[in-house]
Parts: sequence; C-alpha cells; structure tokens
Amino acid sequence: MKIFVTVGTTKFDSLIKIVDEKLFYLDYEVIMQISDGDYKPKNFEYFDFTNDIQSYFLQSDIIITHAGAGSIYELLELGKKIIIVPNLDRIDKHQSDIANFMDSNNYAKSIYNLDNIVEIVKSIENHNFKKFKKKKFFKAQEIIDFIFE
Amino acid sequence: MNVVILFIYGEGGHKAQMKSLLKKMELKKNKLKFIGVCENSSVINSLDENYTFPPLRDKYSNFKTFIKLPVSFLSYIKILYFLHKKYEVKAVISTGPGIAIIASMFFKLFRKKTIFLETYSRFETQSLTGRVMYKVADRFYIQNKSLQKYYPNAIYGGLL
Repeated sequence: MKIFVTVGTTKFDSLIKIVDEKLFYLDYEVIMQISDGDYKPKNFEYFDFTNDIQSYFLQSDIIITHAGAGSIYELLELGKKIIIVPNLDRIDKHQSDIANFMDSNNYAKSIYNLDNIVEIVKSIENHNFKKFKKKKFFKAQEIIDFIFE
Repeated sequence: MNVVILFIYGEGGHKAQMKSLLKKMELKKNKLKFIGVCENSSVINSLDENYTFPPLRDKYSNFKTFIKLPVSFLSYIKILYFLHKKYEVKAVISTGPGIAIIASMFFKLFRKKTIFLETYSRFETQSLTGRVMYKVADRFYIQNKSLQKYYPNAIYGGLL
C-alpha cells in the first residue's frame, strides 16, 4: 500500500511529524511533500516541492492532503482515496469548509484530530467513496460578452 | 490607447483558479491585452504583461501583516494608478484575495467593470473578500451551487 502526503505551499509540520512517527510501525510505503517545513521526516522519503506532483498522485493508493482545493479537486478527478487534513497551523481557518463538504458527502475522509490518523488510514483501505462529478466552468464567454456590452 | 483587462489574483488557489479562467478566456480573446497584477512569486506566464509587488500577507503572523500595511497599500495604489494612466482598462477580474477589493474599488471610481469569482474552496461559508466583493462587483460568480443561499444574486458558473 503506497501513501503520499502533500502539504501544498504552506508548511504543516504537525501533520508530517505524526505521519512520520505513527505510520512507521505499519506496513506502508510513504513519501511526503513537506514544503518549507522545519520538521524533517526520519523514517520516510520526503522532498520540499515538485513540478510534477501528479505522478506522485498516480502511483499512490491513498493520498493524505492538506485541504487545499486545487489538490482536492485534482485528486477527486483522478479517482483517488483521499484523507483531508485541514491545516489548522495556519492563521486563517478557511480550509475546514471544503473538508467538511467532502467528508459529509462521502467524496473523501476528513480528519481534524491527528491522533486518529492510524485508524483512519486503516479504515479507508476498504471504504467505498462516492464519485465526484466536476461541473467545469462554463461562463467564460458570458464574462467576455459582459466586458464588451 | 491600448485596451486591457486586468487580472487580480493571489498565490496558491487564487492563482490556480485564475490560470484556469485565463485558459478559458484566452481562446475567445480578440484585440485585448491581458495584464496580471499579483505578488512577485505568483506570475502567470501566459499573461501579456505582469505587474508585481512583494507579498502583503504574512501567513504566520497577523501582526507583521498589519505593521507593513501602510507601505504595501501605497505601493499597490501606485501600480493601479500607473495602469490607469497607461491603458484604457476595460474591466477588472479577480479570484481574490482581499487585495482585490482595493483594485476593484479603485477602478470602480473610474466606472470600469468589475467581476469577482468567489473561491472554489467555499461551500457553506463566505470568504471575507467574497462578502465585500458581493457588494462591490458588477458581476459576482460562484463555483459551488450551495453558496447561492448566501449570495442570492450571484451567477453559478461551475468549477474553474
């Protein structure tokens, strides 16, 4: 079972640390993208940034991600099993809205208490999520028309 | 004078959404120039020109953001004024963050069109910028239908 952890552009040390410490005893292959985080994993492979995050998404079974909407929508389109962890290390708490929505509609699993991470990872292996259908933006022409009106 | 549209956006998700919008608008672009105004780390290369400034918000400290505010604000207004003098700005389009309010209000003074797209990360809460821009913008788009109850007059446009 391959797990990929991604924090996006803002560091999220508490997530990286807990994954590094708690998943180490289990039989998972883990790679982590940690941004400019101060905590460096001791037990798993990691890197700061990549220009090709999609290839990491594609080769993983489960992705643990911060609640950045861009990452979440991309992962949903790829049909991946997603664990969303809102980054509450940030000052602005805006990440919990999308996390709540995805979890309550069974598109992904969201966790707010990092202590539960092992149970959640185990439970997700056999969990069936609902397929998310992305309605693509269709108002570009309308915007242009409005500008020249 | 050159006719332009200004694209105001921030880092991370704001940039990602603007990139997606530009891709969709680019195909339909005629004699227009597309100009970006953003933090210097967030330039989108497909834009015809970019005007940048140092990051305004300190993600880890509200205090630092507050202290730097007056200087940031002035240098931002300077960019807007320069653009207003140099070009015929047709419209201002933004995906946030808060700085978009300043740019939109500035150009509204000169009766330019303002368009705002509420971020795609919102379903059951409104962003602060969204709340203000709902009152300021001439056109206000939402990307998730669940937001319609908070923004009754917004136009649903699907996901960028």
